[in-house]
Amino acid sequence: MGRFLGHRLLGVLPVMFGVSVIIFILMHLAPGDVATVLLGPQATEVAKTELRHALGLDQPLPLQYGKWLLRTVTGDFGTSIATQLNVAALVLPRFLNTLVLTVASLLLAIVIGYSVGLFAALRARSVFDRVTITVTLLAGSTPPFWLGLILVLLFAIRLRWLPVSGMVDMAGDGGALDVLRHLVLPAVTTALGPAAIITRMVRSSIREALDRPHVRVARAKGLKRGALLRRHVILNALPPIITITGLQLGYLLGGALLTEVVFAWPGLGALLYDSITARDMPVVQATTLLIALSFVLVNIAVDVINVLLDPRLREA
Amino acid sequence: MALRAGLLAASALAIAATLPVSARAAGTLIWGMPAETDILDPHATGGWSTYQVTYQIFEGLAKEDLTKADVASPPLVPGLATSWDISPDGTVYTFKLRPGVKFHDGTAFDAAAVKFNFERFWDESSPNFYKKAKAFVIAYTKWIKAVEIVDPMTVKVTLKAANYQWLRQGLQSYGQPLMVSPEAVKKYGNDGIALHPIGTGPFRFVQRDQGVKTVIERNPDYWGTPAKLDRIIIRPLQDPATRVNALENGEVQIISTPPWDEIQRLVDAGFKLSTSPNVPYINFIHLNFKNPAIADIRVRKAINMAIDREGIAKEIYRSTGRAEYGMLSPGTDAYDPKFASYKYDPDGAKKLLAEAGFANGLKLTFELAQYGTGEIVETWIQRDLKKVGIDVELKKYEWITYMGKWAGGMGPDVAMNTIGWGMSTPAWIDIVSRCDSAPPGGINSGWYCNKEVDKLLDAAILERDTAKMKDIYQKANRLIMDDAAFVPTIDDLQPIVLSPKVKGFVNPPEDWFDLSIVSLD
Amino acid sequence: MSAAQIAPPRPFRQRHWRLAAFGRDWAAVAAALLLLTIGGMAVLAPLIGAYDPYEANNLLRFAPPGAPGHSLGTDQQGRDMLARLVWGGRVSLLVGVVPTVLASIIGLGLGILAGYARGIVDQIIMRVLDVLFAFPMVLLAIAVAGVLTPGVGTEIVSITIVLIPYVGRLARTATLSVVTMPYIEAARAAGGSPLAILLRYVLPNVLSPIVVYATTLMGLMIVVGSGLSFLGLGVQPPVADWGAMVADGRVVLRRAPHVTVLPGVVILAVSLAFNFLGDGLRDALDPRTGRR
Repeated sequence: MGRFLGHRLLGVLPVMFGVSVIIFILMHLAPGDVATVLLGPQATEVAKTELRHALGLDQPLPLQYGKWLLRTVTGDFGTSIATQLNVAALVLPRFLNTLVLTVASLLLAIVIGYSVGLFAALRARSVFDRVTITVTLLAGSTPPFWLGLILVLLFAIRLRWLPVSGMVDMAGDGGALDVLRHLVLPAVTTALGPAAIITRMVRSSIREALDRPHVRVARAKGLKRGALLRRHVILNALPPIITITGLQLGYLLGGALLTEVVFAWPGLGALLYDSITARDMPVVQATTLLIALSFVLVNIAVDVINVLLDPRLREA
Repeated sequence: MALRAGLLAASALAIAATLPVSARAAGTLIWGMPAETDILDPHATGGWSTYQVTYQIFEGLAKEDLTKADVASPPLVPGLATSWDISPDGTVYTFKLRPGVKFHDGTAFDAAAVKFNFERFWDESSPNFYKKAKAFVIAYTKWIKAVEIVDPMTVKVTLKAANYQWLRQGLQSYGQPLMVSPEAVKKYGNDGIALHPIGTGPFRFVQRDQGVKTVIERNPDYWGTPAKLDRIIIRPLQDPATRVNALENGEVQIISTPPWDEIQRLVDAGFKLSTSPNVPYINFIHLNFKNPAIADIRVRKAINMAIDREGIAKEIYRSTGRAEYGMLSPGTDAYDPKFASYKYDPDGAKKLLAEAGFANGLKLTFELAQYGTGEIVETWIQRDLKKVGIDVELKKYEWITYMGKWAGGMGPDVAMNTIGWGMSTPAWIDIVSRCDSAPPGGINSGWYCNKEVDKLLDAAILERDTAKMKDIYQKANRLIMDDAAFVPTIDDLQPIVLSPKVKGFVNPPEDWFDLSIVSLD
Repeated sequence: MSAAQIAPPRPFRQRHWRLAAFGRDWAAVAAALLLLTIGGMAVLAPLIGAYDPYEANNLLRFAPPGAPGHSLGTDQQGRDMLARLVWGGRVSLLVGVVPTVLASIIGLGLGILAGYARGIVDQIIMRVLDVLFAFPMVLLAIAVAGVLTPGVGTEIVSITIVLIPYVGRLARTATLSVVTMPYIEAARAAGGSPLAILLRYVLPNVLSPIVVYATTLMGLMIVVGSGLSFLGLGVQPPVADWGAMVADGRVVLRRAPHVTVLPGVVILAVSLAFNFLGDGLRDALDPRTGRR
């Protein structure tokens, strides 16, 4: 197990390296001059040249990248060009906000997906099952940003039950309950798609497991359903369910971006969008790496859990 | 814990229904702004959204009085200087400083503090010099020859040449020479002022959560009339729909730049609309003299005649905009509301185009920035031009890219680009229209050049008499429009929508406001 | 939109097309008909419809659906919603279909190459794909679209790049499962050139799962593409695809919800139809994995 984990973790490094190189190149391909933006339209050419020099933007690309890499490896993510804030200090709170939204959405998706999926599997071909299939298909095809707007229209504008946007009340920090009120709509918006996928996966995995010969035998022997599920079905159905759940977490981490935009949720997505449009390279790099790293680590965690459940997979 | 959170989320609908919308401290005003302020160091920043905040925290030697709405331009009044004296040749300014003023950190304001600030944004030989500040405050500092302390409460600034717009030029966006606490600069460093903005103004800085909010509170030791509000929370709400929703749900009390189509509904719902007839900027199109088609004056005139400005003002701006026919901004002493140039005349435009040899149509490229408003004004213009036979391709760039393209000047394949800009000094016209303002010397993005205009503009800043100055600028304006060098389009009347609880708000002829006179019921 | 939504299905071996089976699948047939209708309307947009999608009519702003002459109402500029939806489809469908096709071709090539060549080639290709895979999908698309000039071309490029690793992985897995088959070994032993073996035996076997997968992807890419347009990174005004229409309507959500609601419903319907079509194709191609 240790070797498996070590091997996988070692594989993270080249991936992260590749991600940072791609972002670096992409940002340099981008048109638009940081100096003009920072100094305003009236700045002299001399001032712009000096600023580019001060920011090291006049150096050859590989050198710029090398310097960035060296600093980053030592844990220094630099200073945001646009806001003059320490990048780590800027990015970390946003990351936590995104995490709040992500985890809440994931929990919601799991609660809905596991319970509805299990229920539908046990009542195959029932009305409930058919409705579930239809609803999950619909939910899986719904554009999340659009769904968010529809929910805002219904619950925030028409009914006024919930706030329209933001993470806390505009007047200040309203505490956990306040965050919770603000969390409901974005979490539902983000969770719906993943919930649909998890539901379908749970449903089909459980049914496949129920169909296996030894389960049929056990059932024929008159084993009670609760015991049957616990002993024979759930464990067998679990690996694909865990895989799909983990993948959803990865998706939620990055893809909540659109939800964050719709609800003005102060997360990484909005920060990334702002810093790309401001050509704020240090922030873009730190944000992307953080999201990619989380994504890769979640994927590894999923693999590890699956290996723990079924050691045969280690060879695969 | 995680599970509990999930359960709570499920029942939050019920909780939410029973809670009041929000509970907030008395005297706290929350303002939904369309953009985030960049950094709060007034010497080293550009945007108007920033000065809407820094105006409350910092003051200059002279300041613009923003407590009056019904004036042509904001009166220039004593700020941290109680008076100033200008030598007969116009080159020496002697400032008498206001006694008894303290910065928010307790540092005394005196001639040494003023000198320190000039060193920071102007004097390259000083250890206090800050390169970035000079790059921004350049419109002001490029005139300075020397700064001397006469006595602890008197400072003398000598200019390289006379310029009677100089004080006003220092109070525009893109770098203002406002007074920053020298102690704060020493303590936090030049870069640190952005995070520790310490001035002398009626409000002092409390807290900043980048992208989420900026909080300022009343300065109890203010030298002038203290602010009425206890606290102001500035919330960047980029999405217009979010701003409207927040206002209607009582979460904010003021929003700027409301969506035009929502204004009437908000007014009907009991909110107050405030507009300013004299905003110091206009929206206009640079026409590119390097483009072969545009080089023909008949084409430039035709474009000017083809656009239904009144229609745009009425139908898109919903009467919070005004058709504009000249290039001088309202909000300056030189503006003439009666100035007329090319009236809407699509048939005349067609005729001119035919004369220019484009009877069978013309294809032009129009570059613009992506504002997030759906670019409805530009698409309207595109339709108007189509009607006279000009096919316009809109090329939209996100802001940063666009800034570079606009400030760098247009290439010959581009016909026009657009921006909304201006200042409360008519000397702004220099930056976009002088021959030597061609990029990179300035932002004459369309490479317009008329020596006669330059001569008039040279004379204008040397004119101390306001009436005569106005006359010269009007002549320049006439020449520019005779050349059809630009297409002035629409003034935005700076609509602000307020909760009826907000009292005393004044929408002055400036891009920012004095919030010390505002109160809440 | 999510990684899992586009998680490659298990590869399957080619069977003969079973048109009859497809024909019995009413959902797939209905989906195909819907897509043909919408696609046809989009293609023929200049020939049908009474209105110019870009012509504003200030007297007729915010007309609700069912207004005389405007069956789906008008938007905030008084433009006919139906005309805009039809014209918007030209861009939205393009952005859903073209990148998927491009990515399928590139991904197929890379995947087969990796799976067939094995060894160092496989390693290099898969590590590069891993890097692309490590970006959450929307993120990479936004990064690409954010730094290039916004426009349909950029949207297509960014979605294509995003999709390549997904198709590539599936193609490689499918190739691996085929190359160990006895008949391939036999063909090799008989001295068949690698190219001939690839074209003759490997490609046909790998193609069917890719076709099915790509069909499902198209639906998702309609959603992803509309998301990019929603953020303003896609098509430029006055042309609007469905995502941009949702974004346009957002400001007037209170006053005229139909401006936002309608394009969303169309995106949903088309995305759903591609899903049904994909399911139908899969059932027709490989009955073992048929829906239960």
